[in-house]
Amino acid sequence: MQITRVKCPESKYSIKCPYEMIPEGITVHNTYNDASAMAEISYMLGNDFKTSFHAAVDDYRVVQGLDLNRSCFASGDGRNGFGNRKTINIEICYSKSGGEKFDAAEELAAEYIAYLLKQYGWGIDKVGTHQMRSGKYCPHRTLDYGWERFLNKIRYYMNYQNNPVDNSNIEKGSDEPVRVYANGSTREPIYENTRCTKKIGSLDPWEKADCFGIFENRAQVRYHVNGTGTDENPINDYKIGFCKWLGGVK
Amino acid sequence: MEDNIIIEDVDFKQELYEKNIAENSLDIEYEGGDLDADN
Repeated sequence: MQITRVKCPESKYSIKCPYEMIPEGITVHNTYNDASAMAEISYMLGNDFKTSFHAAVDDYRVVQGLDLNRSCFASGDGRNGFGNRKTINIEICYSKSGGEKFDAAEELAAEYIAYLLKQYGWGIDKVGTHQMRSGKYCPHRTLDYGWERFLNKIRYYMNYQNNPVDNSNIEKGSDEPVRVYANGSTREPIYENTRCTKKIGSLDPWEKADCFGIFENRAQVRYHVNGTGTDENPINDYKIGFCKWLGGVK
Repeated sequence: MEDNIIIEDVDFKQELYEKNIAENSLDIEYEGGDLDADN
């Protein structure tokens, strides 16, 4: 997860984040725009409205525009309302039109909120909506899709963070049993995608490779890349891709 | 997952704001928060 923190100019503190605060919860919003997180934050910091929020999340990163220990103007409950004065306000991007970008933004927002909950030692009960703070139907699309559904996404990431996969015994990667792919007498092109539109390399005649199975009627193989390093100092380098000929799967 | 968190710090630039004003309809549709949030 990438978090980009944009520093709010101190000259704008009075209209964007006037008070220091010790946050007591999180308030979730939807932007009702189709712009990226950086666009939202740069617009928020650039205009002179008493409108602000701590972070915006789009389909690939979190952009934070205010320190999390300062208040903001997002929840519509006034200068001293709980939402504005005591919670971290987070905007989920691309909610106007929805679609894949919004879905991905919502997913990343859930991951980010789970991360914050863990940082502050909070439970899921600390997460609320703009609607809970002042009645406005926001986060509109998240509410349309189901608030409990979104909370469950956060719970999923909370569990994941509390029970991470133990990789401590893996030093140079693991090698699970896989099948063998034995190429035939002709060179076999390897593609990065199952539609086989983007070639990334090829298998030499009679070359053998690891085979992870057949997906979308293509064999997925991991093969050694020739010519990496020198004869005296060869470097092991591997690629993974898909090939059309299924006769090599053993 | 915490091992996968990348944090970068950047300064706000007025040019970025102006670029986003030009490229987005934020000034018309913007509802990131309430304009009367200070009431």
